[in-house]
Amino acid sequence: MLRALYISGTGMLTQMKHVDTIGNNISNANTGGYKRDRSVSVSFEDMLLNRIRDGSGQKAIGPLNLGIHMDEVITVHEQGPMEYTGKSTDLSINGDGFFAVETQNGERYIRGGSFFVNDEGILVIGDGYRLMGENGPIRPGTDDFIVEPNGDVYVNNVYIDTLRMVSFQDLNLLAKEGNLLFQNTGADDNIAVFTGEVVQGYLEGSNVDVTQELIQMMASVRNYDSNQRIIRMLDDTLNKTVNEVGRV
Amino acid sequence: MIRAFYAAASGMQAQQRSIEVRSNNIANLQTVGFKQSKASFSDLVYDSLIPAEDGKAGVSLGNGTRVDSIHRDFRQGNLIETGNPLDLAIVGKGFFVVDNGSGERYYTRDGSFKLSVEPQGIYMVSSRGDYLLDDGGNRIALPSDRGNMVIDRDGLIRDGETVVARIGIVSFQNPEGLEAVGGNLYRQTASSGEPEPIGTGTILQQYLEGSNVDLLDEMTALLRTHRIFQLNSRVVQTADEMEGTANNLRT
Repeated sequence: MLRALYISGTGMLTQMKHVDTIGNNISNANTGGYKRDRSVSVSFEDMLLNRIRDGSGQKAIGPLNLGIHMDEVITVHEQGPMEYTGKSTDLSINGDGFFAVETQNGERYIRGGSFFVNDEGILVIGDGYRLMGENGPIRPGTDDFIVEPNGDVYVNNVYIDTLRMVSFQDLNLLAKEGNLLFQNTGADDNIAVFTGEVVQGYLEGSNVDVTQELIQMMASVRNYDSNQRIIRMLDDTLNKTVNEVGRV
Repeated sequence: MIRAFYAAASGMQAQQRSIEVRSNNIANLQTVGFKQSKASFSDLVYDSLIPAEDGKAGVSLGNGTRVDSIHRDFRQGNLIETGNPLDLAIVGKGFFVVDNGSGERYYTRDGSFKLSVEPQGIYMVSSRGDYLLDDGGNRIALPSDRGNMVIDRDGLIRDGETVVARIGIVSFQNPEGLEAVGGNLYRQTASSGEPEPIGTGTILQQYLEGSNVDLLDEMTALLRTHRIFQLNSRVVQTADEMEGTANNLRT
């Protein structure tokens, strides 16, 4: 009976994490370039119960499951909706791929966004990190520049540099770091040839589908409630066992 | 306490900020030389509970969203013909330079200038009374008889054949780094860079530059932002109910 108490407890804890993920998705439903997370929970491995001490030797009764836990949070790298802004510094990607950004912790990756040209004439993202080109930071010196679909940057029809564009073999190895940046936690050979195309003057919206999120939230909350109901029931039963059974 | 609660609260806060920015844009729909702003968001840091391994994503939970930056969009506004010879509009990049009388310089796209008749001379001033500066950084004094005065595309103020002054137009490497101080004025900051004079023809006389706010854009964005605000408040409510459920584990 105490086992059941803990099993229902794992149920409540896991559903809470589901709602945490959903809450984070919904709060980023308007965050351009955000990719939604999907949490996956799995049950603990089955435990085999054996009959002992009944004189017949050990005999298997059957498997018992000891609850559920959160196994993975998978980032869904689906394309978000493209919004036209017409601003030359608004860059995004159609298809697979990322822009490379130089940070103090090493190279990070971003899907796009409202970039700007800083006081040194270098193209930077909102936090001031520089956007990387094949030959170091991109320095257009003006916001009057053209980016070709393959990442070539032109100022006044003169070729400047090519943006460093990357794709990944295994997107599951990309860890979110906040500020819309991704970190490659895999080896360098996880980086693949860029297959998407750079689009200038567009912003990629968040790929969160609020209807789906709300439905999942309702399901998780109800599941949470059911687990709570079971715990209360078990508590009542334990109460009877401890206090009432055997009372004269 | 449940993370979703704070994540959704941060979402409400960020959407609220975005609504404020959009409302300011709409309020300035008719403001001469106004440039619209837009809030952009980014996600907050993630708590990594289980790191990723080969072929399997880890478990990391997010903490919500924040306003990353508020971008000012310096694209051209509509040109409005006024017929007033002291109304100027800049076509393309650049700012007028004005001086508030005590040596502080500001930059503006608002070209609705007036005259200020003072004992030392007749000066061109902005609606607030700030002095318009020429390309040398001096106040522009006009002759008392201005019957033949014209201002050409290069900003040269001519009275017949004689050139009175040349209006100073400057641009910045990073105009988004300018600080808006109200009254249609901007101030130079470390991130905007130094003002650089522009020489080419960019001035239109008898025109004003209208606001570059697109009402349709603002209204659709406002509707969407409002909806997402509501959704976030729904999550806060749900997280609260879950806390209540946990609280009722024992009666």
